[in-house]
Amino acid sequence: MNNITVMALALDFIESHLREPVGVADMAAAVSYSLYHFCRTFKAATHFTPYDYLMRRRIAEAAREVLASERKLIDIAFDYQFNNPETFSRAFKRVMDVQPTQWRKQGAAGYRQMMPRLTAEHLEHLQRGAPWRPTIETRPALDLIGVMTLGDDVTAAWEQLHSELAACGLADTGGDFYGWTWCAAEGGVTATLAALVNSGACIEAGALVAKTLPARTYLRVPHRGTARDLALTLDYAYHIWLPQSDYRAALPWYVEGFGTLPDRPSDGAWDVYLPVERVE
Amino acid sequence: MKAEIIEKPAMLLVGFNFFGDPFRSYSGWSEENEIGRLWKRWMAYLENARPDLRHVSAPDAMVELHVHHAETPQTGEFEVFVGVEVTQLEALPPEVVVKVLPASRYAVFTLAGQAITADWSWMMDAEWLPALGVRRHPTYSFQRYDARFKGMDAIEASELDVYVPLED
Repeated sequence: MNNITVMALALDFIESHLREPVGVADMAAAVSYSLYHFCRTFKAATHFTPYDYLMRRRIAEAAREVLASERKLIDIAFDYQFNNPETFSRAFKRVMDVQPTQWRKQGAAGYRQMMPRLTAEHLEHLQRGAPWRPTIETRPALDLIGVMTLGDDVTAAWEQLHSELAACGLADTGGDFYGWTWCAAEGGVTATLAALVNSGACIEAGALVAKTLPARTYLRVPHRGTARDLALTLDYAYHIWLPQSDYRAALPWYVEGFGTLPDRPSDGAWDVYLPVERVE
Repeated sequence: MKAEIIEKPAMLLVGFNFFGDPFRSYSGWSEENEIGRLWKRWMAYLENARPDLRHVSAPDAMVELHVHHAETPQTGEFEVFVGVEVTQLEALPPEVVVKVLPASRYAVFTLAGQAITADWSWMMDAEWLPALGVRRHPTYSFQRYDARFKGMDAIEASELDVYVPLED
């Protein structure tokens, strides 16, 4: 078995023991690795130390339960192996950015707040995309013109934009194309804008709408793979890179930058920009 | 892989140490991980301070000691120490750490080539030590690097010895 396969087994082990008193030595033993070799291999495969990943997954599942039930916080904390309320609160605040009591009052998870379980698919994507080199960039305001659709059927938005541009005689235009995707909350409504840089033309034509993204700070992540793999790149950016950086997601949307009109984004390489802010 | 059991008197080691998960920042065999950085710090110190570091028993031999603490099984964090063996102690600067390893019986395994980067620690517990009919002391072990170790970029031509203290 290669390291990815073995680390995927370790992830399965962790997932089935979130409520059990297991530690890193148990994870290593479960996949027949020494502790030393396991720590090194797990970090290479997942970009997390095993203990950090275990704690983040415990907090994510505890957070889900805090929202879904009316059980006492202390009982949920004990279930997930936090031996006292202070330890639970501290860990919860570190991962979720709010105290458990505030979280319950909030009543719903915000955009990309819940650390998902990593899968073999994530690990393969992480390995394929290596070396990952996200960068923090400040970008000027961006004036876009395009087609807005509700839902996550990006293909339909691009086809509509293509036909709108053709109607304006701009089907063969050069220039930069952008996808802008907004999502209200975890599992909530999604809106997609398939757009190009607004040169002032066609603003009143058909279904085209204009949108300006203000100048701001972004995390730029190079995406390599198919459009279907984009979810894995976003998981990397939101749930692996950002939590281990000095930045956090600032707004519930992201931008994809394409060089040419992506009739149907498939295999390829493009950049994803996430609006971020520095953690004080 | 060559294996033997030896008796070793107490050892005095001086060097630098680190506690934590050494792969938190960089994984794999990257020299930027905490173990690599520890070695760099120690080698830089040696370069400048060697004349002051007296009673070194084997100047071309270095030791990398791994010590498991009470929380190690839970968190995966452990102590790594790199340094040299000395025959006696004199005043040392505050950044230098002293380790005293008790007299012990050791299993000594000589690793060569790619075996150095494999999971030999697991093989040791699963196969090599049982084959010798002995049990390891679970708290610590160390690797001894001398002129036979040519560096990670010449691993095929390298050898190192792993010392595992044994329970009575």
